[in-house]
Amino acid sequence: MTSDQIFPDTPTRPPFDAELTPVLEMVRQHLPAFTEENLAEMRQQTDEGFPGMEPVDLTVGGAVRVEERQVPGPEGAPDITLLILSPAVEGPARPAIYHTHGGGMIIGNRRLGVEPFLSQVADGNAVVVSVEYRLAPEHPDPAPVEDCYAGLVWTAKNAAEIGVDPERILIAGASAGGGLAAGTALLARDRAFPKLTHQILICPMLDDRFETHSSRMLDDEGVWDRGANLFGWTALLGDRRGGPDVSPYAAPARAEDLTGLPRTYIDTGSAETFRDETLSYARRLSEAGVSVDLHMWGGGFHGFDMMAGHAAVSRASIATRDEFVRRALEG
Amino acid sequence: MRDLIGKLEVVDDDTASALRVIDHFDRLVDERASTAAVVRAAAALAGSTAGLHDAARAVVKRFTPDGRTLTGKDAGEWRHEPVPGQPGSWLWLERAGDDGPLDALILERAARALQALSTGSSDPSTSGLVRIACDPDATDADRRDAVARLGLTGPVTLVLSTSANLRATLVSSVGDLVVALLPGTPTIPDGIRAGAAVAPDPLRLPTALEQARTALRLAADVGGLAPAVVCYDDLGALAVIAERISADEAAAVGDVRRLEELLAGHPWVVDTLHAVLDQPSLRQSAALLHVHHSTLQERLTWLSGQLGYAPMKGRGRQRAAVAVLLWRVAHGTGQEAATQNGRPRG
Repeated sequence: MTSDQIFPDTPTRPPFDAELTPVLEMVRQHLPAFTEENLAEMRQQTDEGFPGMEPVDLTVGGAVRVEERQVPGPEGAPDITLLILSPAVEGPARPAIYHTHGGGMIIGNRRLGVEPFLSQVADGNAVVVSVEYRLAPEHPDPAPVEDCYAGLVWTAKNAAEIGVDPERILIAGASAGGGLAAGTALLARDRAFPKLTHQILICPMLDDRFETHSSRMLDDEGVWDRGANLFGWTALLGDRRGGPDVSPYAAPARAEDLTGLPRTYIDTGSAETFRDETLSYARRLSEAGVSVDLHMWGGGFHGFDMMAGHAAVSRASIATRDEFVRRALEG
Repeated sequence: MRDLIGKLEVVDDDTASALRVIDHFDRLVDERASTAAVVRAAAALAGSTAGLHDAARAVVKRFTPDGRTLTGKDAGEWRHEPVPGQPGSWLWLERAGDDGPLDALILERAARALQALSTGSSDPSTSGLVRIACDPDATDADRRDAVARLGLTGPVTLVLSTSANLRATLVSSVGDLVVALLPGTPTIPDGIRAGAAVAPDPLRLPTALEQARTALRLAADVGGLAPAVVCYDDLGALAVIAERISADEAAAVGDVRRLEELLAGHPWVVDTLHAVLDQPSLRQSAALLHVHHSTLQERLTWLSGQLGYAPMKGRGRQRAAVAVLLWRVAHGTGQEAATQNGRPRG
């Protein structure tokens, strides 16, 4: 299918929030386009950070113990690395935030996106476990989601060893990480292990089909436009993208049965590609009897609160999500 | 964004960071963002708590770099940046220790943004108007309108610089360069690398922009012997060379290549030639170069041997002058070449 066939039109979009606009411009000037040729550069930029940039202090000044484990991957596949962040102060077994990083299925690493959860670890409320899954296109579906699931299984089975209460594991991820979190939650439900208390799906990438309004409305605009999204899904699924042979674990929007999934927090910006799949997933989860907190932030572009954290709409989004996480960890 | 802004500031040179500051506040004005958004942007860009004392509404707004609202009163000891047109209103940054390199610019642009936003209209920002006034592709009607709104009537001096330290009321960015419009023919501030040109009529600003670009190509770095500010009108016939010959063409000229080779081991070569071509006597050239005149004499003898011509005499003098000029053309476009950055999609 040509992109003209996939995108026959460019439907209208809401305006970007005024305060976010300057940041959006800056982001667009500095991030390379998501294309095959730029893949190595994008990965390098994500892995190394911008030159001269201070890396995030994962130890939060010594309050967090940073550890990495090689654990078994899916059957017949290589081991995977888990980044484990636990409170430096010993204490009772804590809830775990099992984290699947973002990056369009094609870039990113286990350190990407853990920062928003660090304060919970520093405060002694949680252990964060972040998984280094294999990336597409070198490792297409089902490698990424099966790696995420394998890491989750290890975490649950070895909970005591890392100070985690195996009955209180929640899963969280943003963007592609949100899609992988939702897919991993579906796997955990269908394989009856482990039990997850919550899924926190931050602007999640759920649907490979480009049938919704929002999945077509950004053409060379915003962050993660339809072209980038097509590139990401095609990297993950190859020729299967958009066709009948895509598993719900890869594209959770395709899951027909959403019953029995964990308590859900799901959010999106109103001016992003993933808006409608997020709204639809929230509605369908609710119809399936799952308790859902849904937030759509007007004028938000994809990842707005990670890139423009100072803006009023970002403050509101971050505060709302943080408060949900706090309550979730309280149990 | 605090993080992202911080990251990008480190990557870029100062000019690029400064341009981003200018663009950031311009966009907020264009988007009619709130005054609080302007103060938050100042805090985020500076990486320091920022405050606004809003006299008209009798309120104080303070925000941390990550956008949190702080309560509290004016902190009197911080340097006040008045908001133009709003008596009694001012902005400040609560910076402990030394000022950040962009603090002054951030405050200035934030204050101007607040001024622009307070008019309550949806007029384009001042820098937007400056851009339209200088844009060769703007329609005559749009340019006439922009010029009128900027209050420009008589001759205008257009200054184009690689430095964000170019401070003026009417300022904007053109690609990676800062452009300022100064009514009349004022003295151009030194301490920056700039090209200048006079538009006899403000409607001819696009031509002045091209002329200033040409002049900038011949401007030397700040702190060197050659002038860092070059006026197009002073160039005369020399302008033709900068207009007609590209940096690559200039770099390929044999005499320029030779200068480049000599510079590698002898960094004084171009400055020395500049001094002897510019000064009436060897003694004055030596004084300018801070060397003894016998040292200068030795260098010139050595240079004559290396160049294959005597740079102080007759033909040789002309040849050296043109070679140095072309050398500047070859080096003058580093910044300007990157002007039209494409904007990749996200």
